[in-house]
Amino acid sequence: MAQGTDEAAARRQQLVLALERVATGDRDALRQVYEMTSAKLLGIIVRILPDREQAEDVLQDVYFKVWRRAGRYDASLGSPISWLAVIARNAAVDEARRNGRTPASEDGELENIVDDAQLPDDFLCEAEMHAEVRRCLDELEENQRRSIRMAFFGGLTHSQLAEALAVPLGTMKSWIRRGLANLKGCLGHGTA
Amino acid sequence: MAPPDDGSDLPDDPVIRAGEYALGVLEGEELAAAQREAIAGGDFAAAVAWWQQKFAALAEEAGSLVPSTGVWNAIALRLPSRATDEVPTPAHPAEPSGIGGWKLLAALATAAAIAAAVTLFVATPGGPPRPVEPVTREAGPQIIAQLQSEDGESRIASRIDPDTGRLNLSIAGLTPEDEARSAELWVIPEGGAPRSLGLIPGDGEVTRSLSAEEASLLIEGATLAVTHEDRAGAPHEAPTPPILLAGPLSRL
Repeated sequence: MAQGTDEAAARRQQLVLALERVATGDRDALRQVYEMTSAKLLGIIVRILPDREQAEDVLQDVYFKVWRRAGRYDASLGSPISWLAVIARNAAVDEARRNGRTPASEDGELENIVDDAQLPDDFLCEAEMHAEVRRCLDELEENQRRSIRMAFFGGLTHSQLAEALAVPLGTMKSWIRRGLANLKGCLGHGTA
Repeated sequence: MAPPDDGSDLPDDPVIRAGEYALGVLEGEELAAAQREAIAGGDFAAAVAWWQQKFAALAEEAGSLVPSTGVWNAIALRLPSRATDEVPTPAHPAEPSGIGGWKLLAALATAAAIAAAVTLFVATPGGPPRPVEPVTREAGPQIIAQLQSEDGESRIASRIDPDTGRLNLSIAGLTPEDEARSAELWVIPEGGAPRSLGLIPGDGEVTRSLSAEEASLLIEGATLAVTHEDRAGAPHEAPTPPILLAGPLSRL
């Protein structure tokens, strides 16, 4: 376990260094970032944009953005994979909206097209944080959890969620708000 | 009958609002208010960052999928052919004036980084309310930058339509106290030196055509900035600090 943690930390550090080199215009460094993270980021994108071709187009854009933005990554603000994940998720949501798609991914709808088994880049994950977030989500009421997951993976707003789940807007706001309040407590905001 | 439960009986908690914002569910006035708070920095922005981290962990459960081999090649083709193209050396070898060019670039880079950090959130989920969206969708990709001072009093919303070569600005709170001075708009290409786009009004709407050269500079990734300059001698060779507003151009 300890060894795995060390390895994860070393991989993250490697990724941070590669991003720093990307910021100086080093193409090989971008290639390294790509090798280390592209499978992870495509997994995120495809969750939001199930069309593989479209998802890969967005993936291209994401790395082009990384090329331009690498200088803005600040290691003190969080893990590099989180930073990349946010870029990928936002790019996918933007693309889904641009297409006018109603991204209504249900929980688990896409699990089976994602091959979860292989990848060295899993060492990059914030395994502990992920486990914690997952545990806290699981503690939520079904409606709260489902709404939050749909908002995140589908990029849906309050009113879009209300429509998708056929509930009044106020009800949806309440689910989200209460869900976030519970998450905040569970994840210990302000205590860590 | 009891009023419908919308969670409004919960005490107002900025951390929860930050969560709604980071999640991207806010719309309309609630979204605009959260954007203002996020841009102002401080605890709210920190809470947004905290939620982003947590949600990013959620993203990781999406699992992994190895991209097709062609994807990297496609990315490589879009990169400049030589790494040196991207190294931030001033495009003009001669320093235009006494103003430390590199210092200014550094200041701009920092401002852009801050703006970018904000953009990461702003461009997220809800994004800005987009009443113009139906138009832009038909008109092809637009390049936009939303610049705002920390106190929110000075603002510029800019939109560039590459198809028609037109620049549209919506400006507020940039009128200098000294009448001999005016707001001046700058574009800083990635790794390049600032170029003036001329004086602009301190308040109001402006639309004008761009020269081909200007249009070639106003692309995604470049930085837009505003300074106050003497009216005389505009457009100027180089901006005078302080930079009032700065932020990256991004594709809508």
